[in-house]
Amino acid sequence: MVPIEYYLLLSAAVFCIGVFGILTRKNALLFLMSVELLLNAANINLVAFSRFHGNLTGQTFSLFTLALAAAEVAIGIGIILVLYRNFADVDVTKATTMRW
Amino acid sequence: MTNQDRGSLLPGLAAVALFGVLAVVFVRASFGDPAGGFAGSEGVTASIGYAMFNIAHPDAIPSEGFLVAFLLIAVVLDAALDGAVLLARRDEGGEITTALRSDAAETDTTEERVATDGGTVDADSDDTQEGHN
Amino acid sequence: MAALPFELAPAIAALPFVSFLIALLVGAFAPRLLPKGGAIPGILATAGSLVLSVWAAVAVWNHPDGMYHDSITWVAGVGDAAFDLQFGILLDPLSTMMLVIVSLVAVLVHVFSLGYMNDEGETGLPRYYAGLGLFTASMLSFVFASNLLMAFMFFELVGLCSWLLIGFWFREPGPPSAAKKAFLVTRFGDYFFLVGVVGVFATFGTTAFVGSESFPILADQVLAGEGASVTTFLGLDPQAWFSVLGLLILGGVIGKSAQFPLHTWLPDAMEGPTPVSALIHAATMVAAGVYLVARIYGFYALLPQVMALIALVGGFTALFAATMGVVKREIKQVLAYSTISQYGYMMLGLGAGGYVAATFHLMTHAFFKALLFLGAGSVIIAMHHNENMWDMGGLKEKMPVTYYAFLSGSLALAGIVPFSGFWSKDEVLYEALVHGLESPILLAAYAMGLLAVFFTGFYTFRMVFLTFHGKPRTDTARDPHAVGWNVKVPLVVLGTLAAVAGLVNMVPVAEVTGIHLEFLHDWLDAGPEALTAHHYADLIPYASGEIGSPLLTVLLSAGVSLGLALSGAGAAWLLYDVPEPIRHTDRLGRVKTVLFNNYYQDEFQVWLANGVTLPLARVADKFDQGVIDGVVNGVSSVSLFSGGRIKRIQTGVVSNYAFLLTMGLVVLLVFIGVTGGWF
Repeated sequence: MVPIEYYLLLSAAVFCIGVFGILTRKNALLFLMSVELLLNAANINLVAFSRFHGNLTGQTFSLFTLALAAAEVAIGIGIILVLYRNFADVDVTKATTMRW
Repeated sequence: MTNQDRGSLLPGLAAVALFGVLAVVFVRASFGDPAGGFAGSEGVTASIGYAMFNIAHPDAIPSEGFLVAFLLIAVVLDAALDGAVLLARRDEGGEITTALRSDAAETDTTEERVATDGGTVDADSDDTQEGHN
Repeated sequence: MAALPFELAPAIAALPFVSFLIALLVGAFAPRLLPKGGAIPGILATAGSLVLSVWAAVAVWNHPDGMYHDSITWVAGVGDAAFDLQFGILLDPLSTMMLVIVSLVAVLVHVFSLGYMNDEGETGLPRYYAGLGLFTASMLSFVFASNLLMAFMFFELVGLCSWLLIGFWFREPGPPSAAKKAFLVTRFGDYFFLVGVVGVFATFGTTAFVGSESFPILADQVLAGEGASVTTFLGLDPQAWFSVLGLLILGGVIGKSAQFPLHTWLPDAMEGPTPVSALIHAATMVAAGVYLVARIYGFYALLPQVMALIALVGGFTALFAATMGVVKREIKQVLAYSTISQYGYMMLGLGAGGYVAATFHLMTHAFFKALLFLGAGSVIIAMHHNENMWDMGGLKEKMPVTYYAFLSGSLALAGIVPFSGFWSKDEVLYEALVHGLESPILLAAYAMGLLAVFFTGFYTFRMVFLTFHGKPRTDTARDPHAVGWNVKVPLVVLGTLAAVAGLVNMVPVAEVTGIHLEFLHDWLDAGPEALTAHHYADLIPYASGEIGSPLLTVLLSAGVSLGLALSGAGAAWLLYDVPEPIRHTDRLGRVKTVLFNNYYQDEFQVWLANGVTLPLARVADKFDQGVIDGVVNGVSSVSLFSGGRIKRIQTGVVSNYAFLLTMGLVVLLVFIGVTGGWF
């Protein structure tokens, strides 16, 4: 059986790739994709520990995470639409009017 | 995707640093002994089904019940759909255009259209076979 | 279930209050419905109060305990060492006597106002009668208050009403300023009173006047070393601390009763309508102070130093005010200074241990001073509101009723036998003398009081002669305005009372003939043990002396004071009872200037305000503006500045937020890892 550390490292790697994407890209759509990576990194952890503890709760819960991701994308796409309509661009660094 | 999309790579170092910290923590942590596979004779998929609807089955792999979470996520998805629709509608020239209506005023009505029998007709002509009402 | 007159006691104060409400509300919303601008409800209400007061007095006399006391708790104490705040009614001989006096004067003032205000076509009458009603109601409530806190509350209300009424003609420049002055000066004294009330609460846990748990009795027990325990402050022993409390309460008394040095408001208060002056001087505002001392006499009697101070202040004020009254031109000004002087006598009497004497003088003074003011009001009506005595003269033939009533009041004021003022003033001076023979301070106070008798006789008759005798000096005086029945009736009633009221307590006659004539003494001795005159006589810290024999002392005292009064009156007769009087006071030269300017007391007080208080206030303001506000502003500017800088973090760029979040997570993980030993 693959040691749990490997899964965790994989999960951490996926998570950090997602974070990296968020930090270095400006396109809002890429943001959404990066967020998917973050969520799935969490899913890897859930499934790995589910197997590790011999209990199905983690696996079941990862399904809910997927559903949540779907909801998030639906809203996210809507937000991106509004963003595009108001700023004629999907560059998140341009939409800086909602600060002080 | 042009070069415009690339921001500075410098902030990415934070992600790398995060990975470094996580990796060190995970490698150095001890997790105890694994359980070694699932107990119970039912399959994983079937057991997930049982767990999802709080069905107590003697042979299922142990799990908590998720019926309430299931219902909640159903509501959340619905709300997300509504939210997406709400965000996507727009106000154009006094006319509200939403994704749920087929008569979206995307087209310029003065434009010539393709008639059913080929060729073009004027938008002003009384051709009721045109799709718009 | 108490007897009916006692059950009705709250109505004594409630009736004038109702008339206040009627005058106020009907006057504001339907003035046409209000007969005589509110005078009729006022007269009916105060007459009702008078009837109820007399009834209550009779009931008190017939009651085995000689008193009625009932109270309700409006704030209950919570926790340890708590005390209840109560409203209560205390009817005993002293308070019922005062109730009768106040309501009687109030009725007469209301009737007189018909002539002084209504017939003269004044505007704003509902406001006037509302003020009178509330004034009477608060004074009556003050009189039957059963504890110091309630007394204080109505004491303040009386002050408020005096402000309202003195400033009645608020469109002229003088009255509002006089009203403000009266309010502020008395309020200055009331600060001390308020602190005193709180002090009494903190010390005794009660402010009740009567009952075994009342504070005079507790104080007595403590000083006698009989068990009762009290809390004292400032590290003082009970005797010294009680003296402090007594002095604090005395502050309010001195402000309200216009004693030196807080007397300056009273002459200015003459700016108000004359019936109001009568009410203020005779029965309500000014009497409140002296009445308060009489009410808690059981407390003051335990404090010899405070008693001596009261006597000294009283004697000094009596003389001081009398000298100023000598040179005044306006008839009401003379009366104002005579009021200060007469209240000085009452304070002298109280301080000298003459509880009955002072109460007696309070009563007779209420009658003759109300009479004199109403008489002056009648003269002022006749003179078309000219108050200068040098413009009068020869009014005797034109207005005989006013003249004889006024003469009766003047004889009483000057202390000429057998008018009421003689008996009471003589008794005050007699008490001061017999106790003063053993105490130099009292003797000094007595000497001042005695000297003031001469001045009183002088200024009183100077006023009478200038106003009524001689030849008319102006056209107005030659053809005075006629006055109606509503002016004459109060004058006749009060004139009679001023002449005969002294007969209730003819101490010298009783001493000489042996006939029992001290009815007022009996009356004030009829109450509950702790509030009786003989109990106070046991408490007072003075020994009595005598000259030769008791009889000789009485006769000597009466003779000397009568002689001085007669010589003062005689001097006035010589100088002013001539057809064309001249201004003899001019011969006083610079002394007259000093007297005319009231010893520069007003200037002194203004200097105190401008020269001392104002710079102090400026310094305090500088400190407040500079240091306090500076610190506050400094703190806020630091926040503003740092906020302005730190807000730059909020770039609005999502990537930056995400970067901060990530770095925050890394730092947190490292921190937890290091402290938690993960590495």
